Amino acid sequence: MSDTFRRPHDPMVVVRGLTRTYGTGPAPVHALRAVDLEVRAGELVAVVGRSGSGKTTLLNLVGGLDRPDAGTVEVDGTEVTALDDDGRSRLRRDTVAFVFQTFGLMPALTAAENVGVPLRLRRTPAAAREERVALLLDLVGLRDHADQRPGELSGGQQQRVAIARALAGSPRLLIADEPTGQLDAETGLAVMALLRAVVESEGVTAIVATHDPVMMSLADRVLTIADGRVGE
Amino acid sequence: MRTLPRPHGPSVRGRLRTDRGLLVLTAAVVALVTALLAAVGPLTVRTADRAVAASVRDAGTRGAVVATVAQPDSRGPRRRDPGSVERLAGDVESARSRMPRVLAAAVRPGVVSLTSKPLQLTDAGPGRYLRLAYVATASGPPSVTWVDGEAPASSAAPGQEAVVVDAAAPPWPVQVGLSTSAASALGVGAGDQLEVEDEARRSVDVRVSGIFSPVDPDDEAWLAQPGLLSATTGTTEGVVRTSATALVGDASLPDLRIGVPSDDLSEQVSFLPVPEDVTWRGAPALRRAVVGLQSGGQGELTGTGFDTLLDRVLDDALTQVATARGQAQLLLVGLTATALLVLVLGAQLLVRRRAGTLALARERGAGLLGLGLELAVESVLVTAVGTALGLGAVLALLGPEGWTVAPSVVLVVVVVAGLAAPVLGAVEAARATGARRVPANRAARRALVQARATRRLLLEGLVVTAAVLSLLALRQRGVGDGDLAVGSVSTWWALVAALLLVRALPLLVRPALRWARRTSGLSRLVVVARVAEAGTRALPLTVLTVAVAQLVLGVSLAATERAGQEAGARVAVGGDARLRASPEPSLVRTAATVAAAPGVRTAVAARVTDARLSSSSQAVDVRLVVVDAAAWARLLDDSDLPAGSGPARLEGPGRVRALVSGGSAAVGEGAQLRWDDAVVPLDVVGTAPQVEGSAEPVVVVDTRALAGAGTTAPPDTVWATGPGAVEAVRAAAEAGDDVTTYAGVLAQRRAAPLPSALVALAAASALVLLALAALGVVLAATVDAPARRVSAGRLRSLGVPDRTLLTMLTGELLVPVLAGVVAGLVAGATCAAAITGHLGLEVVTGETAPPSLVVPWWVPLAALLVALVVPVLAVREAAAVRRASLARLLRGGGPG
Ligand SMILES: Nc1ncnc2c1ncn2[C@@H]1O[C@H](COP(=O)(O)OP(=O)(O)O)[C@@H](O)[C@H]1O
Ligand SMILES: [Mg+2]
Repeated sequence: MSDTFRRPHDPMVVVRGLTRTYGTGPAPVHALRAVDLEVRAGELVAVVGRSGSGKTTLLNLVGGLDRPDAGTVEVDGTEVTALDDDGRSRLRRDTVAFVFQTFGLMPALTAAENVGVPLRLRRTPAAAREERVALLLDLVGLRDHADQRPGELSGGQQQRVAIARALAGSPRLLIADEPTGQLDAETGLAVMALLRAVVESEGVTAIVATHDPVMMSLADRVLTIADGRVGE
Repeated sequence: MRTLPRPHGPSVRGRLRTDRGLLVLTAAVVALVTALLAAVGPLTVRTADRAVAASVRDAGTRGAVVATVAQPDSRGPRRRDPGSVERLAGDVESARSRMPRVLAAAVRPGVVSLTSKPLQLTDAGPGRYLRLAYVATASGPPSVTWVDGEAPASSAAPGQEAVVVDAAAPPWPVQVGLSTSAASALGVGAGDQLEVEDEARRSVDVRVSGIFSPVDPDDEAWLAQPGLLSATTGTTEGVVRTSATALVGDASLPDLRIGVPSDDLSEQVSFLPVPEDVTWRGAPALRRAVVGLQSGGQGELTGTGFDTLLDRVLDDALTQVATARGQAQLLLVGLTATALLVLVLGAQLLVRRRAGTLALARERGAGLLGLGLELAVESVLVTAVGTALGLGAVLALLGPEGWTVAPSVVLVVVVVAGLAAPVLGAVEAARATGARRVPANRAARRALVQARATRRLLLEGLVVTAAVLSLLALRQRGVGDGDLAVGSVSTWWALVAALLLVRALPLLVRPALRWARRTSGLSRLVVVARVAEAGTRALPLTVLTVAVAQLVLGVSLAATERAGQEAGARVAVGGDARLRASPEPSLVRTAATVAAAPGVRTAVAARVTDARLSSSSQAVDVRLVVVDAAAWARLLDDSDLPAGSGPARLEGPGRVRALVSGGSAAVGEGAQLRWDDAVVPLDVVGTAPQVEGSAEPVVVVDTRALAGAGTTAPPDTVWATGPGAVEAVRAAAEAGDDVTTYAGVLAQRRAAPLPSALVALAAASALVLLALAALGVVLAATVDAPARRVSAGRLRSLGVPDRTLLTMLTGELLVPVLAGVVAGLVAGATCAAAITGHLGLEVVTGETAPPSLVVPWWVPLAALLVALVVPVLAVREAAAVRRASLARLLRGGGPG
């Protein structure tokens, strides 16, 4: 593992020359063109840009869900772009957590069980796990819905469960791609406020791709992405 | 009138393309099942024909139809009739013409015989008897070679052929020939003039013209009078009695008619059935003809009466065939039911895959009828192709003869295969659009749930009732041909087991879920939660349970039948090998020699004979076994033969102790054994085992005990066990002795048409059931594959390692399969135990009591072969999950 004695304001994410091109034919799509950026620990960064501008591509590469054509990504001192499948699996388990636009919950498990999945993955003892799950459900305001399945919850509730689950494993980096995309304005607002709050309380770093001006106002920093290039 | 909506051609074609694999599979199942059902018809008819023919063949002369022709009055002067031979041939013709046409067509040309009663030789010593017999087939008397003297000639001087003999004249001489065996048994030779007289002490003048040996001892003519070729020696009331038959020829036949008082003569025409001409389908008509012929009462009117056991032979054969067909039906009904369930499962999968398109089409305003029709077009197409393939294959393999498809059964398969998809599809489409009509009102929702629960209870009640009724029917009337109520008994009980499983599995999953929640592992929670969500569906569980239950039943029936044949063969022989000779004290030494031979473990000499057992209240014919109790006990022990109460009880002081089977309780006090002229009081100390498949009660006494009571019974039998027994017994046998081996009897029973066909059917249906069960597992897995892939992909995005994912997929797929297999095993074994006693297996194996159930140890392993599909599926699904790009997860498209 990498150096564990990192100071709080060291960069959590360092991206250098990141390039991703889809397709090789006569009309390749240059989704990212040599992007450089840094995100400091504890920061909440909003990535904004029109649809098709490359937000998702960037987040995928940072989280190790995809591989770049060129460039490097370093998360918490680990070079993500150099990891093999197992390494990236471990990265997702230990360091990075995702919040998906479509929530990505397990339909067969209850809200509490969904939140407990990352803890079970590390074989956290049952008592400690239950305690943390209860805490997180409290945090996202779903204490009374612990035993409901995703199918029995509203979209906003499901996304809150997803956020609780993302936080359960105490990740260093939270990646959320348009987390409010499928929610109505009011619910979206609540979810965004929740994200802002947990970044403070849990001390995680977050990168959130969004269209939403409210999210931009809540972010520490806003990165604009256009035509595969990033600017402040 | 509204015109029917027309199916949309391009979308039908498009669906045919996308679901090609599934449709081909459906067609294959339809083809397999129609082929099987279509083949069963002609195959069972062939088997039944062979079985009936074999029964008739095995019955031998017992199956002959014998006409007895009344003889003219004997008083007064008798005229010698030179046309006697032609007259007998005429009697054959007239007997045949009296038979119903179906019977006449199924018998060989008649064998006529004119036979005297046994006449006693009075010249030297008592106990020698001679019959005079003339026998002829259509081609005349049997050919013989004269080894001494010459053929019997006419006793009439030339020109005197039609002489009239006065009643007071001395007996008219009759020239006869004797077989070498008869001549030596009676101690007479060529040229001897014998002093003989009948029961009424009327003299007959018999002159032995020569001694012959038969050219063909198997000639039908000899069968009519076996005594012509071999003399028999027996003991009646303590006196040795030798009987033989003398041959009268064409030339001396007129002399027989006047030389022997006509009330001492009997004329019979014997017609042996041609086994190959007696078919199963023709047997009932033939049997009716035989019964009608015997009860016709025409004997008094025409002077010709008919007598035969052929009706009983046919009866037995028909019962055997009906029983075997009933047993086969048990397997076929289960097979068909399983196939139908698989077809419905396939249709369900098809419809589920199309749920989206169907709902869409419905929302766009397509009528349910139109949707159903569109789906029907392809399923009818698929079914037609499958049916044509199946029937075509059978036609090609078996040919057009014997073509008797059971149309109703094939029809059921075709209808279910053709309608399942359209009906389920229409229901699915209706539900998709009707979903929003779920009542908002809580009471109305509860009513809906209650209605559903009531429907389910009703269905379960129906299945349980059917199961109970069919079991009662089986217990009441046993299996029978075409008796579907009884034939479906195992299927119903398998369905009951499946219903139980469907009810029980959720109840079992609940505590498992509670346990998994409490623990810290992830896999077990995911597996149990997924099983709770998707693994308790009724149809896949039912397919597995029914298939495995029928598999267990079929295999157990075959194994039980084979074990029954082994036990039956061993009892029939009495050991590994048996020597049967004429009673002779020296056989005790022979037994000792056999016992000392290499590879022989035990050998014992015994007397097996007919006797009577009487008490103050009754008397019965019994099979008497006189044997060295201690030696016999060792033999029984060594060969797993039934021992009854055990020969050990036979030894002891006091009266002669006996084991008595069948009705021993009724004999009770004052039992007496009557054998020869001896009367031996018995002390019944236990139950005798079955000996040599005797139908009569068996009485066993110890040799020394019987000798102690003053009666000696020289042995006529040696039983031996051990790998060298056959060889040793063969070596010890002398000419004329009979050697029977366990292996020989068993092979004969195994090769019999009905048992071998049943075993083959059980094996074939076991394989098909395994394939159907595996197919059911694959289909059920495919139904759920999308949901499983979604959850696996999501877990992967959380960093669950691939190995853990594979474990989860395997566990999730395996649990319902194991549940179904276990339920099927239990159901099959229980059902087999409950019904084997009522299936009439003994009718087919040739035992006297139902064989005890054998469930082979490897049956669970065979059933678990189905579970082998699971790892294959899991590996494939895990690979698919791995291939799916995780990058698509963030895009909201989900994995895959
Ligand atoms: N798998 C892919 N194959 C080809 N082109 C893709 C693929 N994924 C994304 N793209 C293209 O790359 C560009 C960036 O896409 P994306 O990162 O999804 O943008 P955003 O998330 O900002 O909408 C778009 O033009 C999109 O069409
Ligand atoms: Mg995007």
